Amino acid sequence: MSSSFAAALAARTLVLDGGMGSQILSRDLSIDSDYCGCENCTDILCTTRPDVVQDIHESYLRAGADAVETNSFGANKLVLGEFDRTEDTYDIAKCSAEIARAACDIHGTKDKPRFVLGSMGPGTKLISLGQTDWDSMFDSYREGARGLIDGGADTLLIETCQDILQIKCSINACLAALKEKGKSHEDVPIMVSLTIEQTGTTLTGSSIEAAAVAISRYPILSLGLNCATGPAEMVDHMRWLGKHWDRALTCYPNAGLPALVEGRTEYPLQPGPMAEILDRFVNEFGVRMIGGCCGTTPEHITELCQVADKANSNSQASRTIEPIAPSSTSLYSQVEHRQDASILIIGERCNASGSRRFKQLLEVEDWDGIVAVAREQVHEGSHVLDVNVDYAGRDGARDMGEVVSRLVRQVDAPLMIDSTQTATLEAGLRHAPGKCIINSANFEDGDTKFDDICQLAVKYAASIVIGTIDEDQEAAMARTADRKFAIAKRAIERAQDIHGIPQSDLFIDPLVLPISTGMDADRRSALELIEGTRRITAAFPDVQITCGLSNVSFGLKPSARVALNSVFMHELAVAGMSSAIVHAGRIIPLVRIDGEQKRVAAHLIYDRRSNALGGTGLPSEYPDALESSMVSVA
Amino acid sequence: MTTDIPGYPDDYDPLQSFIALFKDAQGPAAAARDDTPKTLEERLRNHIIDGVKEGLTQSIEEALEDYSPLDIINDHLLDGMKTVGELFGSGQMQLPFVLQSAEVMKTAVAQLEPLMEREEGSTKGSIVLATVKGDVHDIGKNLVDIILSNNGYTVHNIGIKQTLPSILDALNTTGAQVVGLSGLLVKSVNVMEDNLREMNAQGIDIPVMLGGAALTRHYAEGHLRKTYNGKLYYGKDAFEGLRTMDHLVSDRLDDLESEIEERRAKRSATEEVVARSKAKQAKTAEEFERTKGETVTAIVEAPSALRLALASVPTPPFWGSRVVDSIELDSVYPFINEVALFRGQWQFKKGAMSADDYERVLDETVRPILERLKTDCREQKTLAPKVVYGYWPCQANGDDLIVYDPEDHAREIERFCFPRQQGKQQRCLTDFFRTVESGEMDVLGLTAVTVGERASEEAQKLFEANNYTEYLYLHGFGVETAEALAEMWHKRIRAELGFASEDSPNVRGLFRQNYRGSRYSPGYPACPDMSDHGIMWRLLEPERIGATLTENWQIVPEQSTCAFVVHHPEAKYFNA
Repeated sequence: MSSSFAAALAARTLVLDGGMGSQILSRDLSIDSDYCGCENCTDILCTTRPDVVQDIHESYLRAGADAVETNSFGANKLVLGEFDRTEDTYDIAKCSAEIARAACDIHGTKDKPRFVLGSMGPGTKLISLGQTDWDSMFDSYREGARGLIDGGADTLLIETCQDILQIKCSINACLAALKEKGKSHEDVPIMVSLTIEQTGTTLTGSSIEAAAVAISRYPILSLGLNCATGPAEMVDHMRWLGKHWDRALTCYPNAGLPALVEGRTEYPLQPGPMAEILDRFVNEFGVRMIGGCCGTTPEHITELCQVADKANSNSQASRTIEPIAPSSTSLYSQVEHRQDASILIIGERCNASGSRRFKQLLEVEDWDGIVAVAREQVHEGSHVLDVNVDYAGRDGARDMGEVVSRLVRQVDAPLMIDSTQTATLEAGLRHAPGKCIINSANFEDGDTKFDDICQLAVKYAASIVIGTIDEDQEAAMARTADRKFAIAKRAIERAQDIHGIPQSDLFIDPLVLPISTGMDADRRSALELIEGTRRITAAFPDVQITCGLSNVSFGLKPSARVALNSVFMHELAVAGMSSAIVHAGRIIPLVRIDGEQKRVAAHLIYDRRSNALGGTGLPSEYPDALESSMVSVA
Repeated sequence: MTTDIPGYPDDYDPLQSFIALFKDAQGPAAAARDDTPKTLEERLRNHIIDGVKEGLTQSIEEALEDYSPLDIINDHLLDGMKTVGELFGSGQMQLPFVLQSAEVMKTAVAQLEPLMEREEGSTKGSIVLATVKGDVHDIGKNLVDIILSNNGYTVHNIGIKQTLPSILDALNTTGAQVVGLSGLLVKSVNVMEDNLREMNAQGIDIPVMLGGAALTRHYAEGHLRKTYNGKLYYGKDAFEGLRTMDHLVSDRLDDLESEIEERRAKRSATEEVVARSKAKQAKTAEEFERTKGETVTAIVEAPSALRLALASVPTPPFWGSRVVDSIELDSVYPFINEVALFRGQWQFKKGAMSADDYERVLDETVRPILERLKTDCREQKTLAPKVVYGYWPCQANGDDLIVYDPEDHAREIERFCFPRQQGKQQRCLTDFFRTVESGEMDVLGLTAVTVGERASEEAQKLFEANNYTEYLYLHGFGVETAEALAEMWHKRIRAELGFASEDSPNVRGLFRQNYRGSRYSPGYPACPDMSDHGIMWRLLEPERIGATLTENWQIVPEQSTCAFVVHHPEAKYFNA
């Protein structure tokens, strides 16, 4: 059964109700009998004073609201646990939906149906601040969602969001609860509303872009803003959403910024001025549902209904949306997968198997030292940081959690969570608020493990690195351009068609193998990689391509490695490589490499040995990137 | 199939050679520039480009013997910074190295700063500088900071990724008179525009100065100026920023405004001419519909004072059009205009070089590139010169040029309408032709030439491979070869019409129109309306040589051109 609310939101501008809390506070209620001694636990009123709650709903419905929010802002296990009411979570949530349903049934007509939006607030503990963990939060929200669904909520509205990780966790909880009930997000849509503080970010520091990117892959009906400020402070953020968010937009601000008047908090924004700004949001930014949060009253909603009526009587112009560029995010900000005038540089040094320093820091659990290594890499120009704690004899999942939970708060760069162990990967992902990159999946153990990793990418809305390795016992790692391309194609199609991961979030790693060994089998490795990269890029232009660059020069002197790696990176970039896992400080501009070193490095990369030595050279049908690139850097 | 690299030994193994090159190298940063710069000026530049602080102090001290501190910054250090910006923009230099260069720049400026004359006491004025939201690039903005600070301004540089509210906050707390916004990314231009609109909405109209790599003068002084309610200025670089500040604080805005207005007027002059001729054209089209296929009877007189001395009308060897597609590239090459190619297309500017030095650069660097391209394009058949040209009977009727059927000279088949100069001589292209009332038939030559679409495709491939240098070379070479072909065929037409003997004896003279008559391409000042291409295409049918038109009248492939060939001896370029 598809959602009638979703259909209404698509068809017209809707009005949500106003604040619940201030309305409750204005009623004369007994702490002992009504609140059962739990002062401030307004959710409990659903069971003790359903009449009061329904009366408030009805006051908003009479004002013209198309939808009301259930009185369940704190109806989850973590919040109710603070009042020793954990056990009542389901009942309170269910009851809240039933009351709202009853109110809506009274006022709803065929022409103007009224909807019940199941409110799910942020709670009092956030994962990103280390106050709770993924499992506890997931369990807490799932229970609340179960009650709201059973009580007849039309949608689940995850609102007043302050932490991206909390949004990810609660969406997963909602999806799990829906699945238990034999429903899907198509039946009961999930809506998300962020809270951006006066500082211009969420409480935990995320910009609107970072938050939108991190959650955009989830199947949510809408995104918007509520609380913290009045509408005037939301203009920039709403404009950005209006320009870039590809689904419905919602906005229900406070009645301005609160002021303390004679010891009481007052919200100054009057209904008229508030409607004026929201009118602009509807007409300029295409917002589809407007309403009020703290300090708003039925009078505010009456004004907003006029805004909606006016908008609905005109034909609604469709928004022109510039899709958000494919990106990863840290807790704080967004980093695009395709960089202007550069490739996406992924710092390689937070890696226990690749960096002796990192391994030593991990051994003594010097977490601050690890943060320092990460910061250095960002300073040197890394856009993303690879994190790999795989180290025999240690608890990888625990280490990953320890490292990631610190890095996300102290370093502003998206993370690439790197491990061969699924459990270690997941431990990292459930501590990272931003949109991460998983490193990596491949077909070495067949489709099953590949699918498992893809499912992690779906659950945490992450991107994913895919190495060109398959089940082939003898060949395994793809050495030829043909195999690199074939495995890449298989992986891209499987990740997209079966798991729904967009191509722009797939990073194909066509595998860098050393050309420094002198063995005939390795001589063409670089050449095949360049050609493989070229073919994958040509066939899948949206896919990202990355590689562990430094491996190409394995075993050479440090100075020789710098030169070879730098020239190789240039050739790969020309072929279409959009990213590389490197030590950014050890890649130097070609203009700074001696001409002869550059030339011979290129000959080495393209295996231009003489025929007498068995040199394979550049097959004549290949475009000679070598000569042309040498011209451009001469 | 493989081949050995010429000039390398039979047992060449690049791995061994590569290892040998690093035999004595120490540490990871041993790879270094092989050529030591000879002059002090080069050394100053290279300190910046290479991001090397060692020896910087000595270099600057040495420079101070000959130059003022400001000249050192302006002429040499900033020149290096410009190269860094270009390398970064073309993807050849990664950000960390750009930052290193900026560090060195800062160190150099710190050394020079105390030596610079600075107005003491009160500040000349103040500005808030910010890189806009979503953009982290601040080198250019920081240079503006340095230059303005050193010239007596108080600069509140609030850093990168600044949202409008924080910029406005800074304005409020500092009371600055101007706000300067910068950004390198293309999207930053949109952010600037959003900021301006929001400032409008909030009733803020403080003067704004905009700069940064993605922003063009055209866009800033055109669209953005129109958008913003307050004053808005574009700063190409730190020095233009300084000049703007000087004008702003001394309230001498008239100069700036008139300069901007002049530039705007120049840009829109062409647009206006096109608009004017559009209006006239509607009339012409009407007239054409009415008289098409008929003998022309209605006569419009051109202003009589403008009548030109009658020239004899040559007789063409044939009427109608012909396709020529077997042209040797080598016969076209001599007509290439090297000045247009080297300076215009390839951007090898003479700058401050002496004529001798410039000529040496051309000989040593530039002409070898041209020779290589000539050979490559010949051997790989990248360029395929083709021409379609012909002659049509025609007569002027006021500002209209009526074209008649080559078979039946009484039947009108097409009609061009050209703009007439306002003021001046009131010249119009039709003045060079016999009029309808003269009763005599005149002759109009038309040409369309192309060097084929492979040139476009190959250039595009280079572009997509980020090989911008080769792209620039090949693209420019293709365009100029098409121009050369047009020049060559114009000469052929003069020969066919029997007055080639009046030509300049050398090719360079041809580039200065040292021959009888002229050729005008749509888009030139005398016939600025590109939609004339549409009529020319009906007459010439250049599809036969693979040249087509886009809906906004551009020719595809780009390496093509077409022209009206006018035989009148007084026909030279003029601005309508």
